[in-house]
Amino acid sequence: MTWHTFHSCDTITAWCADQADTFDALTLDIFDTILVRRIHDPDLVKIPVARFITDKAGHRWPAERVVRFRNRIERIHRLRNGKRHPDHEACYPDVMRDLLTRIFKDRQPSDIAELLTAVTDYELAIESDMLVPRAPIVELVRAMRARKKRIILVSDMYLPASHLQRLVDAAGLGPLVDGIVSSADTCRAKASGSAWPLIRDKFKLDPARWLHIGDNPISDGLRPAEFGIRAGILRDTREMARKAIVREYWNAAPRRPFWRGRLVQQLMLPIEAENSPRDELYIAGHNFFAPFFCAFVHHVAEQCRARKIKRVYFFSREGELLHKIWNVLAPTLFPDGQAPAAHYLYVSRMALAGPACAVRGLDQENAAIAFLPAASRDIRDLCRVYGLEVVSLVPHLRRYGLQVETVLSRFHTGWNPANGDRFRRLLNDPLFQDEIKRQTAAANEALQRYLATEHFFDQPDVAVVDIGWLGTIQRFLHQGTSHRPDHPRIHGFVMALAGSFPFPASDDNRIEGYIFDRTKFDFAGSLIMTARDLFEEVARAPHPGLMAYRCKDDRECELEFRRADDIFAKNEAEQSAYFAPLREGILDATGRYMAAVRILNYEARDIKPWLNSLLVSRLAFPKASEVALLRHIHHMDDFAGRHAPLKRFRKIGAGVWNTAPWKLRLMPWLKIWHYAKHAVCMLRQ
Amino acid sequence: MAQDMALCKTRSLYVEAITMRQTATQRYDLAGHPAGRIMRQDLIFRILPIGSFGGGPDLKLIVTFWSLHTFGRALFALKMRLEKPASFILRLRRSLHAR
Repeated sequence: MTWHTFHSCDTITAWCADQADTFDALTLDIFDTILVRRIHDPDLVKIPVARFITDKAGHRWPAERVVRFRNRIERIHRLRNGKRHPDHEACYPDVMRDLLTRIFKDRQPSDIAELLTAVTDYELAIESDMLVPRAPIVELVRAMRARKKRIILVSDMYLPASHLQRLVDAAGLGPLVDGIVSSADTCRAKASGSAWPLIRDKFKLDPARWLHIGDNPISDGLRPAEFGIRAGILRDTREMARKAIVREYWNAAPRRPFWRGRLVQQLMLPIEAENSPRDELYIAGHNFFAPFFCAFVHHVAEQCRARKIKRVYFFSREGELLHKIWNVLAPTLFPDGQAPAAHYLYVSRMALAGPACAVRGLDQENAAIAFLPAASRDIRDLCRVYGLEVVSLVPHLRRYGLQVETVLSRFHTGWNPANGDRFRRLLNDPLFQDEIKRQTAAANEALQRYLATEHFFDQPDVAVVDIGWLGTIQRFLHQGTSHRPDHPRIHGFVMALAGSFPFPASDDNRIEGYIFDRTKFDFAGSLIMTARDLFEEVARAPHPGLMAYRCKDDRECELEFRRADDIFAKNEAEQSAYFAPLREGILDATGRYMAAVRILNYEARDIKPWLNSLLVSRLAFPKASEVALLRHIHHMDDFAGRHAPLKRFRKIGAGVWNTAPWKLRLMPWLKIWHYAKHAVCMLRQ
Repeated sequence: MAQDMALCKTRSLYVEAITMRQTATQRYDLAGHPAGRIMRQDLIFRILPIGSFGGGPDLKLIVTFWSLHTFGRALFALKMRLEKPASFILRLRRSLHAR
């Protein structure tokens, strides 16, 4: 009997289908035939498993030593089994038990058994993350199954059949298979030919009506052919090219940090049936936004571990996506089960601005925040932002020669520096501040109640996570709670921290940016500031924004959201629906990011150079089609008023992402112009 | 279903046609950010001061990746086809090495 070699899945499946009438049983090799690995080298799985053991064994057993020791024990087992059985095979449970017994010498056998279960589960989870069913072969198996053929999976592997069954089940192939045979159980391998009689006897097969498919010319071609079985060898050139690409990125990454993030993305890429045609927005989410959000959450997790933070709060509404990503990443980043408790906290600048003034009043900086948007103009805007009654403030305004409509923003006609001076003196007036405190006291009380229900005051340290940009929510949250003796130290993490407005950092209120931080000059990272609204809209949860905290009874509080029929809420809902496929892409990529990072053992900072490169390429120099696709349709700044600023201030902050795509197409130098403008702006700060 | 309908309606207001393509290209490259784009960007890096990229990508590596993504499959197909005819080279090398 001879065997046939094929160079693509389509040709081998067509060949099998043609012969369907001539066989009753189809045996398939598992690895590189019906399942393919994302990584190029199967032994790479051993490295994270070694790290898992290192975490439990302590510093005397670094991961490299564990891997070396495991390979040595495996070799000893193979030699030992080779003397008693036809093949030099090793069985994973025996090897791993031996390894653990030698490393954890002082542990009881029951502890070792428990540890073996944990290590096995971990290794199979990693292996499972790396395995993808090969679509055309799975289709063939389904077709043969429908024609009542027996399907048996065979592998020369150190994992026993019971473990392989778990991998096959995780890949969704369990119901299609009649049995699994592993050389680890019997020490009889395909490669020597001793497995074939065993399979024949076990499943009562007739070699004349038996077809085998595999990838190894000796094990899956020559040996079954010698036994009288028809065999097809799949030497898939596409798969070889894919693995060669992964190998090259793998080799380049240690030498050039730039390629580390690219390697992560290469391992994140969907393969086989996962790579079905998708919406352009989904692809943008998967290939562009996902690495940013995942790496940021990864960074937060690392910092929580380093600072021993036990509770993490994700600020609404951008925090919802980050919270979902955290829920996927945390089990991997904290394999010891010590992940901090994660909560989604309903907050907003509008809801927190008022409570922030209840204790210390309205200071100069907070007042200035209300006038940052160019569309805010007068006291009415200030009162809207801080939830104040205008009427009660009028007598105080009169004392300083101010009116409700007095222009207090330089972006508007009628602005006078003398008004600014009067306003500053007003802010120093204790009577005015008493009135502010009186008006905001109830909102502050409601905030305290809400935070207490979220266990905010239960820990000495809490992490708060938001997308950015000035840290206003964290500023207000700290100001609204810092008077309490049990207030926690707040560790703020934002994706980017803008440098345009000072943040009141203190020992109990820290903030840092991951992609960009104003305290660390990183020009490439600062490019994220050119598309703040885009990132904000992408991450924004599809629920209306929080407007205020209200006291309900003596003890409870309720959250007041923007009404769903509000024009802004409708616009936000429309924008959210537009970006829904994009968010789906991000969440699909998160699981693959987790698997890639677990194999590579990368920290969030390893990915940063690649993220910088993405920022330059996709944000500073985007294609016109990308701007057309991703530019937000609606964006609302809840602090902004409804006054039209002077013409020269209307285009403040306008950049590539506010330029019409047709202009970018016809005038590509506009990108360089906006880039230079951003550079000058950054250098001035 | 109703949500999908609403989404399609929203998309159709702003996008002429929803194009569908694969997240990984046929060359196993990132859709939207292929090796060629990194190469173009690297050429800009050399003129404009852009920032920190962990030592940069290295032009030689970019060319290697671009070649692999572009011609990888063809190269392996060629290798497979020539494997048997060219096996005498391997045998010759081994025999020379043995001497």
